[in-house]
Amino acid sequence: MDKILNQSAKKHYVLGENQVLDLLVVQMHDADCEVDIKVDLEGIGSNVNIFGIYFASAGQIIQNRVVVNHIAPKCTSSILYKGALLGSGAKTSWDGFVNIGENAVNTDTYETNRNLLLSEGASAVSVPNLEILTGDIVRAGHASATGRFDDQQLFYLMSRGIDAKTAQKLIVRGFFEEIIQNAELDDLEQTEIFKQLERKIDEVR
Amino acid sequence: MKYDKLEVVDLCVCVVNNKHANDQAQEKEILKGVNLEINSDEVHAIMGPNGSGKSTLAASIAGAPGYKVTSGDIILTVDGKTQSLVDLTADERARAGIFLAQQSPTAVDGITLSNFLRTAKTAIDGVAPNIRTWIKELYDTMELLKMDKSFASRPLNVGFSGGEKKRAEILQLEILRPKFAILDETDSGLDVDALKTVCDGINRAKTDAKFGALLITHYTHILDYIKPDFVHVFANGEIVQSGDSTLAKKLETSGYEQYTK
Repeated sequence: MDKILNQSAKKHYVLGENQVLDLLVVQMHDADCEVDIKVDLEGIGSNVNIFGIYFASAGQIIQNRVVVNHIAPKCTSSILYKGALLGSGAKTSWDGFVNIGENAVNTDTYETNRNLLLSEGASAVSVPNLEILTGDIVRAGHASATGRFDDQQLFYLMSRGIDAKTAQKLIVRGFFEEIIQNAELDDLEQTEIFKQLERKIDEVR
Repeated sequence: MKYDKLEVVDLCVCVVNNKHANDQAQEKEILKGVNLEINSDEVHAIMGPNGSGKSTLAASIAGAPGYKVTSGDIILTVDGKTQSLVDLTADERARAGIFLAQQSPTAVDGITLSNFLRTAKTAIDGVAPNIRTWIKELYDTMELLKMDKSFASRPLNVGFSGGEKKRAEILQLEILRPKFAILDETDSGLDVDALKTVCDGINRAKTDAKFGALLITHYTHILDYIKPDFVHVFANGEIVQSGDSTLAKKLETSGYEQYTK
């Protein structure tokens, strides 16, 4: 698994025949951050899986851009990014571009970005794009959703004795769980991510 | 035995509507001087027409967002310690002993029912439940409420039917053992069998925890299962008549119209 941890980066990968790339992008730090990834699936049967976790605090801007070019036949790609936003001026943008070229028959691709707004004043922009130049494919899909952990949900947890910050931590951990499972992160990596998210929630006054 | 007590004193509450960010927040007075005293192990039923403020009373005691106490007080005495709840957050009230079973329980994605309950139990008791007995207690209680075990690992109330949500509320009531339970139309939307199952759960919890209960309802049917010590008629934001369980029977035939004119 290739990793881009808590830093801005611009990476370009070219995959050959049957080559597999697993990539994890983590943005749990406090600095503004921009990560730009481009993957060319040039070899037949190559496969890329990209996972992203990010958490924007008040005033922080996190930008992600993912481009996957399906050039050869029988390639697969899967993209899953999840982000939490907490605090006034927390901003994230996510742009996904999956291009299925005219020779990329039997392509299987899915891109997903989900965002969770934990407070007022945060904004998430999410734009998954898909360009298909051949109709002879297995699957091509995209999904984008931005949900909110609202006052009523917070109240419900609090009305059972759970304090506000613990409630937020539970919700964000649950939200990130899908990535933790699918990306098969080890205990140390999980612990580090949970430590960072708890720190970010604890820092809010 | 030393009794715990929940007192509502001359309580006036406004509903605050912040929906229009640019406008002045809209405030509307709903509760207009409510007085009520509930001791442990007592059941008080509050009956009244739609829109009379019954749910506002429940929400105000639990500390729900969007309600502002303009005057009066809510006073809780537990184990000889007396405190006002008005300035406490909802979680502080819950840890002090208040439990609200919601009319339409909120769905929360991202946390399973069992994880939620264990976290709540830990918060209320101040210590984590015993790992060896916890799962058994949870599953046994679910079985009594005729809930499939699989609900424990599902996201909290997400995709639950109306009846399943009500069972899940009573599951929480049984596990968390509060000092005072406010049940806001727990009977609404339940068929006859489900009503009995849910009421059995409430009675079990009450026998176990000896809590005082505030039962909000439109119908007398639930009162056949859970016998009230007091019945109060609520209209236009206040209690207009109080009596014993015979008052509920009278209301069944006379209706609420006499109180709303």
